[in-house]
Amino acid sequence: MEEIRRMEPIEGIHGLPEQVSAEQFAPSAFSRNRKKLMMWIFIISDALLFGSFLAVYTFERFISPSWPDRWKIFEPGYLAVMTVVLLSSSTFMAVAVEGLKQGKNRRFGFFYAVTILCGIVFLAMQAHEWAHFIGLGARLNTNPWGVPLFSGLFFMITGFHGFHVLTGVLILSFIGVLKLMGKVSDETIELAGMYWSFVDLVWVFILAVIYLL
Amino acid sequence: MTVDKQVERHHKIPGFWQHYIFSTNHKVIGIQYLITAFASALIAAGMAMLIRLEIAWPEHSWPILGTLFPGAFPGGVMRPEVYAALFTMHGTLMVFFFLSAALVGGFGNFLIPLQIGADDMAFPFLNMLSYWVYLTGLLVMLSSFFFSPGGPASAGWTSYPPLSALKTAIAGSDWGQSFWIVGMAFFIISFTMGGLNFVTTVLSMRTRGMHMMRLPLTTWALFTTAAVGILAFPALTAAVVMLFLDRHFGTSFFLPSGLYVAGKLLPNKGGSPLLWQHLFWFLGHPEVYIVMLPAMGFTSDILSTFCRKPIFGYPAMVGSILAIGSLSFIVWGHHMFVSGMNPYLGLFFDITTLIIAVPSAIKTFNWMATLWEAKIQLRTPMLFALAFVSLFVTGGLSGIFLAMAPADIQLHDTYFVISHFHFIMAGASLFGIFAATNFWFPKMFGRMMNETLGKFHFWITFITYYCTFFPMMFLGLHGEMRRLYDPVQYYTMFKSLQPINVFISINAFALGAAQLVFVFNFFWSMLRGEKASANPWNANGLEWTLSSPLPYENWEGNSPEVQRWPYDYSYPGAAKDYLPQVVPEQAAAGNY
Amino acid sequence: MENLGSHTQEPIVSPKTFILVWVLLMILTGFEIFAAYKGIPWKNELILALMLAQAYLVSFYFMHLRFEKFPLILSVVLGVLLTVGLLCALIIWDGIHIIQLSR
Repeated sequence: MEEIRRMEPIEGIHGLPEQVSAEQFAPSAFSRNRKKLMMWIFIISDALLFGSFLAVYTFERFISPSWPDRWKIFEPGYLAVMTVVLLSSSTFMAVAVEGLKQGKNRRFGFFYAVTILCGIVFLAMQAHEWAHFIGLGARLNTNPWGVPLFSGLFFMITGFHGFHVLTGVLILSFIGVLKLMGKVSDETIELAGMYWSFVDLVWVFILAVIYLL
Repeated sequence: MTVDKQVERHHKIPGFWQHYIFSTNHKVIGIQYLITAFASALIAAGMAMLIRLEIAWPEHSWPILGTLFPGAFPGGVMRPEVYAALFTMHGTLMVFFFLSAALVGGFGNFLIPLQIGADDMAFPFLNMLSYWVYLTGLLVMLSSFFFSPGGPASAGWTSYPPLSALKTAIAGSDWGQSFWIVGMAFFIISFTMGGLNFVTTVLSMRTRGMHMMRLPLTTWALFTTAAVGILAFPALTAAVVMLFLDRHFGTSFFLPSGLYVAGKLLPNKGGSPLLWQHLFWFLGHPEVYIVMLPAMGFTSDILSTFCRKPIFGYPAMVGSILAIGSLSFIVWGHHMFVSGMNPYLGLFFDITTLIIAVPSAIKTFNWMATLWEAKIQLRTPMLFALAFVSLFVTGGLSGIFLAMAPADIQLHDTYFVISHFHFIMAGASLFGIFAATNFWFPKMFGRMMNETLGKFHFWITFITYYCTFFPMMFLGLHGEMRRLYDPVQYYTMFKSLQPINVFISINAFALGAAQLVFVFNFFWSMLRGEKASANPWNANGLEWTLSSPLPYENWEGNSPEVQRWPYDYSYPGAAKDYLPQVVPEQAAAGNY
Repeated sequence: MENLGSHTQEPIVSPKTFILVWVLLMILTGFEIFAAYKGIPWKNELILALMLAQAYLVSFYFMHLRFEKFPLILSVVLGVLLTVGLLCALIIWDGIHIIQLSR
């Protein structure tokens, strides 16, 4: 079983015979699962994109004579709820993947659905926050606090993050449907889980750098 | 372990479309990349010819050009906007769409699975996608010549704002710059997909016995390149997104307060054009090594093969590749010494840039030591590899001048810089590409490239390359700036230097013409060249154990077992002067 | 071969661990937002430390980085932190200069 799963990428592509044996793979810390490895590298690359954005944010903040007080714009309670929703959804996803590994399908199904639900709730909350922010008079190129860079960066960075959440929700839903049809491997779900946790990870940094600092 | 395996082919080779066009086979994708990159290089070289024509004979009327391109050359005289567009697109196409694509996309795809003993890349479909996204990016870039009012981007290949961020700044800032941004976005996506693939493949798909310290230096270099690309490109992605927002949505990330354009104060407030320079060069400098490192890898392998000697100091070579790769992330500020950057930061970048000379020197001395007392076979690939070392040293030594902030303040944005990077980045990589093309051509098409034409091409290219770019150092030392549309009329102090410019241009035309010899040789040899044996250079890498041209499936399931490193040339006690990587220790004395 | 079987050897994490991690995350988040809202002394340093702690929990437990082999952990952590850290540190160094000039 394990052998077959390990060989899957080759088989799918070339239809190679089973003679590909274990020794063919050099012993390396990286060689255990190439899809997961690629996911990690993708995550590094995507993390660096957000890292660049946050570096830009910090830079622009340093060169601005003043920076708006975030607590006059955002509610700490609302922010806390958003964070809790996203962090919880990541926890649920981890529990779901763990359930899947142990073959507990009911547990998996329940927590997987809750994960997607949390993602949708987060998106709705973010949309509401944007609406609130726009209602205060913030636009990409101007805002009432006299630091147009702030609103521009805010929309760009949270927008990018929101886009990642949205893709995450879509991917999870799509994979969920495939799972119901029995057409998706456990590994794919695990990878989707990694992506979902990554979205959460980015939020941790955005929360601290944009809202709190 | 026999070299020629007679394995029955039980995989059907797919039909024409799947085999040659929408192929997931790494060899086909590599060749697609290579040929597309050569095509874009020819276009960009044509632009260079027009640029040199303008510099040597400023505002001279060429009736034939006026007939061919009535819009760009009214009355046969090049418009200044066209000149700016030409040097911008020349740089962009050469750096990204030729050098990066040919070295990483072309040879990376072709060589990595062969040299590590894998059947294909880890994710063949992603690989195919990467090529088509790259091609789309290239077509978007080129289409800006036809579909954008105002012509293509004209802010230089570095696209510094405010010139690139304000639509009204110059003609090319209008639609052309947007095309540039979209084209670059496609390129970044393509490169990231390729990089993911390369890193995963090298880390997880090596065959039995292929430890990391048995990899050929080519693969080491390509691997490091892909990793550097993955770490460096996101910064440019962020920058490009912000530039797009600045241009189309009125943000001012890169635009400071108080900008006047055409007598009107702009509403932008608070940004900094320095930020773009930081982000661009955070990619831009690693990008230089993205195109340098693979060429270094090719050179190491080719020198060793034609010296019939093991490469000198393999661990040091690997270490210096990794050192160059990592140091490339902390030297970007040396492009910005005169930008008004924090002078203390300048000192930091000054020191790190000088440090990077250490691993570069290690590599050079190791190449020298490999050549020392060797029985050198001067075949075409070897000539190009030797020329690589020569250009690398010339460019590297001129780089030390530019690395020092006090000297750079004098030399910045002069022809000295042009000369420097045309030696080290453009030239050395170009010679690396020629060397590699000549060297691995038999593997690609099953035929040898013509040796006479190859040597002819080499000597003309090598001599005219030095004659074109070396005099530019003197222009630069005299203070002549780059990107001058008319150096004579407005800057009378450069009038006396004009004969040098004429000399450079004549050599540049010869250099351009010599490349046609290469193109002819490439296609003629592909169709009519002498049939190649499996291992025409008596080289050791895994790719040479396969037939020429390569079978559709690399190893058809029977992956080789690697017994040794790839540099066992003139091994003591062995019968032949080379030992392929698959030969076990006990068989060394017998068959080989 | 040892590295092949390791996929199954990946330890099973009990839901208890996840609940513990979740509780920790909640406490950290609460404290972070509280600190920022009240503006307590050393607030910025504290927020950054809490942020890193949260990031550690999410990546090591939820993304299973804890169960990867050491070289991968090192490449992920160093690759991201070092690259972003360098970019941040060096451009902010320059940013400080710009604001000093404009004063």
